[in-house]
Amino acid sequence: MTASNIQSVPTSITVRWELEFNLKLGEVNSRFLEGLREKRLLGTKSKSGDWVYVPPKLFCERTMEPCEEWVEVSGNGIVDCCSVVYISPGEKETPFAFGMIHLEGANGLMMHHLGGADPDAFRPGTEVEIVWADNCVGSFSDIKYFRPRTK
Amino acid sequence: MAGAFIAGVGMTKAIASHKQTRSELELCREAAWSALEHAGTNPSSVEAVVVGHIDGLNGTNVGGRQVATQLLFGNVPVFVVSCGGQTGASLPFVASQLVRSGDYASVLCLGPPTFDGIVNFQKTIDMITAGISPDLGLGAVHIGSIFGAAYIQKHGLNSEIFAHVASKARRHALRNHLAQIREPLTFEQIMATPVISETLTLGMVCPVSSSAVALLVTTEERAKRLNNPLVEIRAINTKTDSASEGTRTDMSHFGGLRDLAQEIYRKSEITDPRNQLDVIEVFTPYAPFELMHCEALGLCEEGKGIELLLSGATSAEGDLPVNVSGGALCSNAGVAAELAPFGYVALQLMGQGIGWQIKGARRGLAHSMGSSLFMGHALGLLELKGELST
Repeated sequence: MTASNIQSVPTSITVRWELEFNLKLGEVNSRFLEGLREKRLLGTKSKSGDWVYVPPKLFCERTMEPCEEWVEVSGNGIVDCCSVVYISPGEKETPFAFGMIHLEGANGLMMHHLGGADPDAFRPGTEVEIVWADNCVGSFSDIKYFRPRTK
Repeated sequence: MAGAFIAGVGMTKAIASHKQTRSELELCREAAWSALEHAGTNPSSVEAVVVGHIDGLNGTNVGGRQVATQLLFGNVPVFVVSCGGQTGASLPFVASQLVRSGDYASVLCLGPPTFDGIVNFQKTIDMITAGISPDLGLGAVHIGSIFGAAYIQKHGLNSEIFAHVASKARRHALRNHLAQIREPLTFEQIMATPVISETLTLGMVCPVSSSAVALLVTTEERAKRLNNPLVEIRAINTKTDSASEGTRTDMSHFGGLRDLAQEIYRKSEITDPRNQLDVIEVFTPYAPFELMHCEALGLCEEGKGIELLLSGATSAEGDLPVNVSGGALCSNAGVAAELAPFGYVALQLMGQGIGWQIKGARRGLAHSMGSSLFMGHALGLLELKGELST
């Protein structure tokens, strides 16, 4: 027997899970996605009024108060911090920029792609505005990216 | 409440996950038996098993229980911990609580490898988290990079500082025969590796490893009858930041760890961590995290972590060594790597440090972390009780 006809020792088997789920979004997320379909960015405000969540939350994570009041924000914001991705596991063409955005009218951050300009153009403090997908269908991907504010 | 002690530590050598030919069971068996042998006891002394398992990443949802059963621990209670990226960090806390409750005198804490079977890690993670976050084509490394970006942008620093962290880890791991990566890499070489996502180059990022780690956690009475110097878990707990950025306003620090450290220090009567601690292992899959952790642990002011590192204090030869094992930047087998800091610190306090031994080490901190936006933290204060025999 020569080395070339020795078969390698089996060391693994291939297993595939092909499972489908219908994850329940809940009333709050459903209304948020419904808003996206209408190109509206909705959030909820904590009962004491000291925190606005976009995307919305059912309860305030900081105080556990219910967030019962709905608010709409403009989609304008300021980049808090940002990065340029050169190697990505996804299908999006690299390089691309993403960052954490302080939305006007909201208290926390929102992470999303930064586009409409050279990826290196973004800095902390860059004013940005929302860019909607051409066809909004009521999903997270209805937000295409945030671009440098033009107006 | 009774005390909990780490009486035995067992770890397998980490290798690249794609090169691993041994099964999860075989690796866990080696780690478990090593921990028991290290403690000077046998499987029949184990009264309960705590084993980690991340549903969806292991290709089965019964892996943890299967491993425990096939290791001949089927007749004792098996507690399977499955909480995503915080699984490994939760294991020593659960084991400690089981012992402290008085219900179990000897608990085997088992951290299996996580990445050995998964073919498309990111696709699987995206599926698991589909209900809670949009798919932005970003992986854990990119989230790590945005923390680093926030950190340097807030403090007016340059991402080159992270190369110093990675270079130190590589130098430390040279002496750790259990580490996957044992090749020195200079500051210049790290900066020359490809940029994955600003602020991280490839040299500042953990490898994908395979290994298993086991700890034997016992009562003081049981530990006294075993082989090793007494290492007590003086205080241990977990804490989470929010999983959603909508609750956060600043990504440049780990607020949850800062609060957790204060709690652990209070419980273990630490008032001056910079001078009262002797050795620290913090979970650092991405280089920025070591600096952020040191600051959250109160070793220096925010933004001053790099000054602490460049002073030499956190090197193996310094007065407060951090990650002398090389840490996750040199071996990251998921759940096993999250449990490893507790093992490495315990060995240091036993006077049995791997590679480096910190002379006179009596108190150490072991930290672990993980999950969405790296929200989950675990922190344990370990202390040598009594003296090392000479």
